[in-house]
Amino acid sequence: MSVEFFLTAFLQGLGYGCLALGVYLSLRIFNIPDITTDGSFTLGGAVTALFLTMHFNPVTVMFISIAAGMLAGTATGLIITRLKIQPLLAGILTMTALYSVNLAVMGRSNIPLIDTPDIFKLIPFTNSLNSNLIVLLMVVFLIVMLLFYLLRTDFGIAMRATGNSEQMVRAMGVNTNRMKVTGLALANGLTALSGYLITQYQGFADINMGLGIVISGLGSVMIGEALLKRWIKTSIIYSLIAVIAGSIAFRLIIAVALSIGLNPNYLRLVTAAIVLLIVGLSTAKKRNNQ
Amino acid sequence: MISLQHITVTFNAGSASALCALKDVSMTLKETEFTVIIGSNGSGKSTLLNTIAGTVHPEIGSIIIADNDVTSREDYLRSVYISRIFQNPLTGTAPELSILDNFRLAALRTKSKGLKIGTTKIFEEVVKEKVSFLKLGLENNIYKPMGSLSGGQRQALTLVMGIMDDCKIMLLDEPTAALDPRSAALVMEKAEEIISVNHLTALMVTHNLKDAIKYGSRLIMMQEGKIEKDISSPSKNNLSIETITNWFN
Repeated sequence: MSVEFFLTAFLQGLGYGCLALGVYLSLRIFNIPDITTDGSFTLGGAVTALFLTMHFNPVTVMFISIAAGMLAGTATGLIITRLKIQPLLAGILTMTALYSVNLAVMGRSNIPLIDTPDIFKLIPFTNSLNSNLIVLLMVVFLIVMLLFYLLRTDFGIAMRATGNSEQMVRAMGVNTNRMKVTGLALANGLTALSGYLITQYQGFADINMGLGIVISGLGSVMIGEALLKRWIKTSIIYSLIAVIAGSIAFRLIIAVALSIGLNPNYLRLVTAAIVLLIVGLSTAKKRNNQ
Repeated sequence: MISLQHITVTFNAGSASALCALKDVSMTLKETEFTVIIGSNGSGKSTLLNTIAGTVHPEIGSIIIADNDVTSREDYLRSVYISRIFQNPLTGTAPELSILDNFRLAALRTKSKGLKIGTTKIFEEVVKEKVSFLKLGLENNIYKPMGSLSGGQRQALTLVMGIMDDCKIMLLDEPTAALDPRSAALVMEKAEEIISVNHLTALMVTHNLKDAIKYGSRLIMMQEGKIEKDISSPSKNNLSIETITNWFN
């Protein structure tokens, strides 16, 4: 295994890192299992491919895809809070609807990006591997810092408390329904940003690129938590970094599995098994502690 | 301060399991009055409290708080007037947030939660000072997660959190029911001090008849969704546990 092998997994880990942060936000901060993720990741990719082939500025496209993801999250949030539908079902509904939306946006099931502008070409002076590294590191650093700030603000405290003790937060004058919609919008905005990055990194958008992606986000968050053994939510910055580290570790595990001869057809089986293993271990540990 | 007019609350209205929790209840709570509500299970006392807090909306009747008709207002909007102490100490605080963050939220109960960092050094000092009032030594642990504290400590902190922001009314729903006798005594003692020092209008539901006699200036007994007894000081001071126990039979 060469250095490039590890570097590729590292880069993918960064690219999928925003998605992991999105899952962290919805699942851990808001305590909502949100599987809109599968759809909003592809939506981010679809919007990116559409506008990049129309030669839009990559930075503009980034904001468009984030906005698209936020819309998807808002839809799920409204279904949960207005119609009082279970989060899992709400997510499945939006995800299913998004499949058609994504097809409509793309016009076909796959768009390759050839001779289009992309965010990695904005750094002129290096080879592609280095510019990928620099851009991905910069984006992830920026997002982690933004979240680190946001979660410590008064609004952020209300966000964190919403997933923790809803009755208390309402007694403190917070409209928890609006808060949940905002949270899901943010989470899916981050997921779409991942779709934006990965589409450009791999050079194409595909209608199935988001299939089962929520599990990899979940796995990343859980690996991150395992890495950060003493999981204290009050230390926000460590939690955020652990999520990114978890995402990188997750991609490394997959890369290693493929390199030792795993049939790619079994990739999702192995992914599910890894997540199952982590969840199983953590609940077994809890049982032993009791 | 608070006025309830002809409140009727029915759960599962229109179905076979319909339950009338409050039947045409009217009452007025004067400013700085500390009222204790007792009654057997299902008598409607918690429903009464929740109707004022806004988590239960009445079918008929209106609720006036500080001259404002709040009948159709959601609970989070009524928090402008009301601080709430829950039966379960876990409910009144966010366990995974630090004591400091919990207090920050409490300090903004009547205000908007904006995009600036409010947990500054100055704010930390304010929290330490407020927490030291409890004399539990928690002022040195304000970065600890709320969940690491005992139920008694958390309930005592909830009381202080209640007055972090401008507060006129405090609703206490069996505040000591989940606590051991020592913590319960401490919490009640601090509750009374906070209520009297800050001139709060308070309403407390309790099953503890000793507390019902010892605290408050007015005692209300609920039965089957109606106010059965309503006794104010000074007559309240002459009540004995025996008398009250007889009401229940």
